[in-house]
Amino acid sequence: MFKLLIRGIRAHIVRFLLTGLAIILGITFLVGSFVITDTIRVSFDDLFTQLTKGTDAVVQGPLTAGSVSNPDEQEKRDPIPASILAVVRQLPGVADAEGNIQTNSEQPIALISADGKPIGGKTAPQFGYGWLRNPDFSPWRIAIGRAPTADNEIVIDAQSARDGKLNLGAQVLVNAPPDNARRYNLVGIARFGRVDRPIGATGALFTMSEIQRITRLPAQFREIYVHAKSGVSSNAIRAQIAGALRVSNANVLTGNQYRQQQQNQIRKVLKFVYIGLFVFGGIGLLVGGFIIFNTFTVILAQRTRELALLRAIGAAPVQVVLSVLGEAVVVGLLASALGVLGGIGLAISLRAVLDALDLALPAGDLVVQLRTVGFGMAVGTIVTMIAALVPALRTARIRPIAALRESAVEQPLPRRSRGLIGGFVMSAGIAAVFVGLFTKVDNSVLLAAAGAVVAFTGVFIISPLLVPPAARILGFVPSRTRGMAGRLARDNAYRNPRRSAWTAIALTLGVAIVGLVTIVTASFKQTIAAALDNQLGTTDYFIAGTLSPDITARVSHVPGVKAAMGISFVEPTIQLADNTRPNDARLVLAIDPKQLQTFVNLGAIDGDLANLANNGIAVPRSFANRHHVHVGSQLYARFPKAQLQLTIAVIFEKRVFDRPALLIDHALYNRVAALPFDIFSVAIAEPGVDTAKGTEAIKKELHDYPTAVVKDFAQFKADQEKQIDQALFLFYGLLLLAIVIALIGIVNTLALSVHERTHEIGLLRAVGTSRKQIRTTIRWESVIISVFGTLLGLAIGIVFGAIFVMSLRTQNLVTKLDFALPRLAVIAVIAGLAGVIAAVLPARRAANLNVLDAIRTE
Amino acid sequence: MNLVTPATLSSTAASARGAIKIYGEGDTEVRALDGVDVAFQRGQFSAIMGPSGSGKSTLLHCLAGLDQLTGGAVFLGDRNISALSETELTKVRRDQLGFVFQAYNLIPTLTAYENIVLPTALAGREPDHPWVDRVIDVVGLANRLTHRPSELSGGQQQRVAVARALANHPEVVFADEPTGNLDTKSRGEILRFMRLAVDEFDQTIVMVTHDPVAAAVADRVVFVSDGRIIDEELAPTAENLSSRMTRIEG
Repeated sequence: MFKLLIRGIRAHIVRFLLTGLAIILGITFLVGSFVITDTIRVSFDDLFTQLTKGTDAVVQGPLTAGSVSNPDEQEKRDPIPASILAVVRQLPGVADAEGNIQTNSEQPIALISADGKPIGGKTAPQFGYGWLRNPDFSPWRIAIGRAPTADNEIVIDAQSARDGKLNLGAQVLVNAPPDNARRYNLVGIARFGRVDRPIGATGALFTMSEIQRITRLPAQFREIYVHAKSGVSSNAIRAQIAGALRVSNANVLTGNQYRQQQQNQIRKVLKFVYIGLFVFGGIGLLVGGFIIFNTFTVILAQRTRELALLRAIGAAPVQVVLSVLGEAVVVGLLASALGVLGGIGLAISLRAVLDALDLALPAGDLVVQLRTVGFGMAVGTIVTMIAALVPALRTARIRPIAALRESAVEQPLPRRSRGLIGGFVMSAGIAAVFVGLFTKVDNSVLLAAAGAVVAFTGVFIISPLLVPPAARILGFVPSRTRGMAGRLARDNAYRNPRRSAWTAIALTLGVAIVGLVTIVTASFKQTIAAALDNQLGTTDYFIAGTLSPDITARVSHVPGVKAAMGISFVEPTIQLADNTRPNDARLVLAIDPKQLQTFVNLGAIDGDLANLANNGIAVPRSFANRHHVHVGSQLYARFPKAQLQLTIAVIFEKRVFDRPALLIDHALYNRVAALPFDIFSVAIAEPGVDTAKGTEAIKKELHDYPTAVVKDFAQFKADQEKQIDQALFLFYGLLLLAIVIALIGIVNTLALSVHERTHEIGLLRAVGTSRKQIRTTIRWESVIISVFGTLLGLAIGIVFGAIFVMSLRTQNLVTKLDFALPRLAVIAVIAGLAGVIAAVLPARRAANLNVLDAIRTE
Repeated sequence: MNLVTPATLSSTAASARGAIKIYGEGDTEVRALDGVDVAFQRGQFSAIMGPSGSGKSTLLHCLAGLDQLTGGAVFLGDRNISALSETELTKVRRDQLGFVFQAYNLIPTLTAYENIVLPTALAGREPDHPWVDRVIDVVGLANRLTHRPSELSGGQQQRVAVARALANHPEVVFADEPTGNLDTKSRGEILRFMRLAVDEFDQTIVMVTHDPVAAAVADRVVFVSDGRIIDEELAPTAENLSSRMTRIEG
């Protein structure tokens, strides 16, 4: 039996490889995601461990109250007063201790070279650090020059210095709001351990007093590093420090605990890379599963006589089933093995891409863990086996007598039961999607995703019923324009509805996902565009960036500008009078109450915006209704620098900047924010002013703020849409892969059909069908099947896209539903062309068959 | 023996001159046709007989433009079709010839009627309706026209094939063992229709068979052995054909 199995696979090796290609690609993504994230993690773990091995204990501030509501977010901690460093230094076990400060994403700084360009590339985040005197505590090492000793001196990482062609003595402009930009002298160039800079980030080092001034943390630190005297273990020193700092609620860690904490932070960031690649791997495997199902169904139908012969000479049904499953295992193992290799290749190329993007990883070996290989092999093989299971079980029903019959007799599910079973499965899936999206249950995303897969399986079961009517309608075109060849194409497309439907199903799945994503993003775009028009329709200019508060004032004085308003945000912890913490009030925007309604349409409002000036807050009507508060109600807000009792001064109707945000007075924000700066500023032109000229005038006024980006309204709107499109096209690029896999499935089935119909094609040729007509027949059959698959996919995409958008609407994330019909039409046309491409090789093979040989084939 | 005489040339429907067909090379070389000169008369029912591997089917395939000669030429009427391109040959088969093969003659997705008018439809022409109706009437298929091949018996399928071969007013109908797969009753029907087509409709039929009963229906039988024409019989009966075949094979 085993010999037979190997021979069977060898006889169809190309077909099996084509079948396996989908699995190969799916596993490639899964394994690639494991390998690249493991590699990144391990190389950073290594680097970090090596660099901080002299650190025996670390002191951190307490967690900022209410800061960690989501485990995926970075922890926020309060700073530590410098007095604690003095306490720590005096402890008997401490050899040395030093405090440190690093800027974070809430304290963005901008490094600008003398020619006005951002240092270290446009996209890389830029961080400021304090210079530590003891090299045991810091990864930074001076490569050229010296450490900063005066507050107007700066050290830059080696790669950014090289890229920006900065030499010692160069002037570097640092924009660190709320201050105006300052000039620093470049006195040194430093490396980050063995690499030129931390991954993807530009680093600038200042004196400790300067970084304290920049971050507005005078006489404070973020962390204190401790080196123990020899003979004192890290556990002992930690206990000693914790004992001394009992009353300060500071967090004391051993060196190892600290390294573990930092590694966990890296893992949180990597999780997103990992999830992204994982999702595409999953889609690839799903598409692959359907293709394998179809190929096994077709191959086994062709081999009915052979299998029946096996039965006739004494093979038991279970032996036949096992031989088929054995084939699936071999195909699955082969494909998975190739997929694992492919995944390693993908990781290597991803690393090269990161290198090219200046995100070079620390040098080190690729990390291929045993679990990665094992997981890849197991998943690929199991998916293949599951996909082959139903076709394999069907072979058990083959009776020995079938060997003697003229043709393979398939007994498909009766139409009625197919419709009922498929309909039931589909409804169950859709129900699960609805429960997952519209109710509050645990793991709702997982439930919705599982529901979508189940619903799709229902469509899969029903799809053969849809083929005959669809083929008749779609076949109208070729049967009218291509004569007999076109009519044959139409008839061939539905002579075996199951095969046609399941050939198309992989394409259906790919198109459904593309359609869904297209609709959701189009709806987002519409929502943003509408919100911009509705709310900021009067605005003429946008200034974005990390803006010093005085930028708005300067813009408002530019001739031709009628009014300007700076906007900032803060995410305080809000607590209502009944001590509950609303989870829909994370974002608070700071605005100018006097200017607000010039720019933003709030709809109907209760109360007076002027009252915001007296520790007032404005809330949306939906918030007020949900939490039963009204004008005059009190709530508590913990801001970075203060905890305040605020009075609800205004309840307004419409969302501001399309966010479910609360509003406070900008003046209040300036008092309570750690580092007040504006995220953007809006301005209105005087009537009759040309906004293009106005934009130039504002740019000129802000020439010493190189990080401020000035745009007019149309430009701003276009850029917003472009950002969404860019993300979408990246997604399309990856999904193209799923569609290519689907095409391979169509080529595979067409080739099998041509093989099966060899005699028929010979006969057609003998009675006068030209080669061209044969090609036309196959091409149109392919087009009918792929257009059918595409339309079914679009229908599914539209339904699920609409459901998804509706669920986003209940969460107020979108307000519009846009079916993006022109874009969907383009997808349909592309799929039709794809059908033409898929038919090229099978059509050529069919047309070039030797007529006599073909007729002799039974 | 030279069977091509000046008297028969003008009324020749299909002929071969010095036809040579070689398969394979060197040790495996097979001379399927070894210098065949033969002509088939218009309005005649001719049969080609011979033992297995004699080259009778190869001769038919070459005459019908389904296979290419290695040497010599085949003619359809006065036209040398040996030199035609594949595209031109396809047109010749579609517009000027009719075919009946041993089995599976029909396209399974088409109805009986669609199969009958298939060559005309491939040419994008309307069938000659009165003629097609008459052919259908003669082969007795009028109540089977909307059936698909899978719903027809083997004999009915062959009748549809004969009707298709005739539907296009072909110059010659080539039949390759048309009764090989049929029971005695169906064989008799098919032979009767073919005879009728020659007698009533003035068709020309060239049929390959190894069955003396089938060949006996023909006007003239040529015998092929080892790739050559070795004999002919102008008054065939099942008995004399049988004894000749026994002699050739012996």
